[in-house]
Amino acid sequence: MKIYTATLIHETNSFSPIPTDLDSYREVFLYRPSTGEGAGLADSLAADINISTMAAKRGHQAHQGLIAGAQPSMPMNREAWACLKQEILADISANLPFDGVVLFLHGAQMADRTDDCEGELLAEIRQLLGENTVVGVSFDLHGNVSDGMLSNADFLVSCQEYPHTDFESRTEHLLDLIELGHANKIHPTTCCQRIPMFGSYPTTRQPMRSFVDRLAALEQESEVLTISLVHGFAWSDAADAGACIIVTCDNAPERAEQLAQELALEFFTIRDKIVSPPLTADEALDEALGVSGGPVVIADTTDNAGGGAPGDSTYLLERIFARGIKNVGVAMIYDPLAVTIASAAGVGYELELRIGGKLSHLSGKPLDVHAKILTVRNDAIQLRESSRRPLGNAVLIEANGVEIVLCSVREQTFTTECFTEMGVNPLNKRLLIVKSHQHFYEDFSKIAKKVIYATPPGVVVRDFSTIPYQHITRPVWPIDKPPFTVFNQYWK
Amino acid sequence: MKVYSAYFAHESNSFSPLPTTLDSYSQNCLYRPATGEGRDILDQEFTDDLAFIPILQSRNHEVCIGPLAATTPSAPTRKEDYELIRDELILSLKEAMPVDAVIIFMHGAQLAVGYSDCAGDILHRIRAVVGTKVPIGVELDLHCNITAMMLDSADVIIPCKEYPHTDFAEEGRNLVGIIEGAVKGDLHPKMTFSPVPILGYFHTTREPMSVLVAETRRLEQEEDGLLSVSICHGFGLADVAHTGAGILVVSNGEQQKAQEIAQSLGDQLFAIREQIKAPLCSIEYALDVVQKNGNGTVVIADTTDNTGGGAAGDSTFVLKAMIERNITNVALSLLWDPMAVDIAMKAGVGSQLAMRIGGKVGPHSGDPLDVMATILAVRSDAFQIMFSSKTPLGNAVALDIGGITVIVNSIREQVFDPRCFTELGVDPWKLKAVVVKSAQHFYAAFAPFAQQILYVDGPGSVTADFGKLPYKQLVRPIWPIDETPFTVGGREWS
Repeated sequence: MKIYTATLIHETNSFSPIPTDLDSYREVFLYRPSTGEGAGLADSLAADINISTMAAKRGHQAHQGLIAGAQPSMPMNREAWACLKQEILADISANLPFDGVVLFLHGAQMADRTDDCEGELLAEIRQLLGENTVVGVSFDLHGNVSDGMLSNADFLVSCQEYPHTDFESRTEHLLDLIELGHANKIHPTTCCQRIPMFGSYPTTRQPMRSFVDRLAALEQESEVLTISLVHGFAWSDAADAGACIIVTCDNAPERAEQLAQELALEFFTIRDKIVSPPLTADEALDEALGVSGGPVVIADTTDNAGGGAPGDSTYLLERIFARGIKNVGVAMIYDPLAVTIASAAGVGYELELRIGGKLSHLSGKPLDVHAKILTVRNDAIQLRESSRRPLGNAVLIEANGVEIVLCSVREQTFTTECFTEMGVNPLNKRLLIVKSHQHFYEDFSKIAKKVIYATPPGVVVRDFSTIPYQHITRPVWPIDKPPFTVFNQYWK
Repeated sequence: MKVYSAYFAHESNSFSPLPTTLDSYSQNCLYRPATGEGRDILDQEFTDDLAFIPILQSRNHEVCIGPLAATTPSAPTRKEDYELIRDELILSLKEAMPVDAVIIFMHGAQLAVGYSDCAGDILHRIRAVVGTKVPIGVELDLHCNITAMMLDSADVIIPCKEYPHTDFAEEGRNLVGIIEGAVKGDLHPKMTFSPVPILGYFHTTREPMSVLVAETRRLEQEEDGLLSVSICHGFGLADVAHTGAGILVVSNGEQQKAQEIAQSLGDQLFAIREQIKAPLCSIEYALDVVQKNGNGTVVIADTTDNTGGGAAGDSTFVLKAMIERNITNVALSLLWDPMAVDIAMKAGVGSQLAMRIGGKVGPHSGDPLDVMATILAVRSDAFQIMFSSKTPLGNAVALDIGGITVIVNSIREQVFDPRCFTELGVDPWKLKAVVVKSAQHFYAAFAPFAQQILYVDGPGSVTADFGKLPYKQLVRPIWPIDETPFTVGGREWS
């Protein structure tokens, strides 16, 4: 098959203080076919999002289109959105015809005055292609699925794991479906049942684990082609924000509808058991100090750069200082200014340094500390899956008995390398603070005596009732209390 | 004649929160003959403090240029980085030998970790290389702290006379003339220095300081044998034993007269100390004036956050007070906040967003301010004129925060020139007031248009309230920390 592939990823947090433009993509990854900028990027890209290579391995003629990814942040500006969209549309129309189009998208991407980037993009692609080209999308389970996505793609397949460890297998699964669809061996009939729920649902705990395993088992049924439980992204202020279940059957619309409705209603009933309870900084520290031995890992979930937060909040650190808790490691606080000052001072130097609290009213107060510079690096990385995530210029400082990694690339803490690369042995720490909501889990759970999810104030606030939404569809749990009727179902 | 020239200048603030390293020089001005780094500096027009180089060349002298290194005031330079540049300077001098003379620009208040007198250290080493017969001439900033090591090692030291420093080129020309005479054997310059135990910022734009400066020029011209007469203002933020002001006279065969004139001018300087100290006022007083002012633009100098004295340039005390008092139709420049600049540039012109600006370096910066900002302008190629040369603003943005326009930029630099407003589309002379982060160098370009100028002494790391500073090395008594009369150097000062 002649397959067009492209990657365009941005999780959009309408309430993030960080704007998004083309430079935001350049800071993460950007290949533009029209200009050649970032040529060669495809070779260095992690396998899980390198669809072109996957398709080529299967013997297809793969056309490498746009590759663009940015850290979660505000809706991107209109010019940048138009530019990226045009990279895809112009590339497709200049190289028609295609037998298939396979895209890797986020699902919760927004731009200034465009609430549904994926739907808009897919509709315009479909216009170029006509009805006979198979279109498939692999996307993040934190996507918000729109009617535009559903009606313009033949297959929508999200990852099913949080942390997202299964992008590669899900994309291979999508390519299976694309091949069968193109060969007319299957006739996809899809039903999407929306679920009025906002939240974050790690798949590493019960009962979420069993639910996801059950969906995988159901996919083995002969009539069923694919099932995606999409968690949704509640920080996108859009009508489509929220969870859903997408079931695609082979020429069996009733079965798809029946399964989607049953599974959606069932998912709604376990809602209380799959979310973490709110936990203030002090409550999280109390719980951590109650554990004997270490390291105990506290996730600073509300300041997760991977959800659009600055990654520089000081709420937890301020309480650690105030309570005099020692032998703590913190990774990472995004503070390029403090990194510049500290790395200029150099290893061994002691100075008065103001750290954190630099970007938003939800970043907390900046903290003035007497810091000793322990490590300065400009080549430190963390490896997530097979992809290298640089920390940028980074320093390790010691202040009040706490070792703190300051970085200059805004990124969440994925792996223990955020400590080890900077010279901290995380095993020797009583307490580790990581700025991440769940992606840290895969690596840190191997060494953690216990994992605690804290919810201090922050941009990725968990108390949705405090968010000034304007466009979401109500009622939605947990803002509204069930029972209620919405999306043609009675939810209780 | 063949002249070796170099440039190594840093005003070191012992209390600055910002460390100084090789990178600090790289980011401002650094040419290293040893590595070729920064060679393009040689192709550009030299700044006024280096005017002696083109002057030498125009008089057909051969100039061997050694390292050129300067950076914005900050904490003392890291030891190994200071030694690196110093040793490259000495090495390039050795390679240039034999030379007929050395002419070098230094600041005169440069410190490094482990070095309380960088200029003396360097001049001493230069003397060891060239021997006793080659004249060494030095131009300094008037905010220098003169040491015995400098006086013993150099033949001629000439600080600039004006604050703002508008006369570097003029004094450079004078220095070249004296060194030419010394090389020919026509002149035998000797230096006399008479210390004056005072600290302060003494603007030469007002009487009676301007009168005393005029007197030094008159003496140079009218008195036989006086080659140069200078008032060294001292730099009070350098916590070293020799910090303080003084009178420096370079004479030719008239040492007795030089000695008497140095003492006499020193006594005059001490006598007018209360009148020449910077006329500082509180933030509240300055804003009262702005609110009552009818027409014209009031220029407020935010002196304590002057990056030119080693401050961060990101303090929010004046801005916060303006916001609290709902003062509008005013502007402030330059607030150093590269993180906020990055955010504003990503958002783009015309967008409005919640931002946290300023207050990011340390306690002297005040609290960061959470504001709703509209992005008015974005530039990455804007510049201002500093001592007649172009100096870039880096990435710069203009933000409107409820009627106050704030110019935020990514290169830590004081305001020299109204271009710090106009380059970002702001006409300062249509506003009720502009706040400039600078102590005095703004004066030359702003004064002709200002309705009045107010010098604000708020909290900050370049305080003129020296009594608040935790000195460890400073020799006491010294005015204004200690009350007069007192006895220093065997003399009674009253």
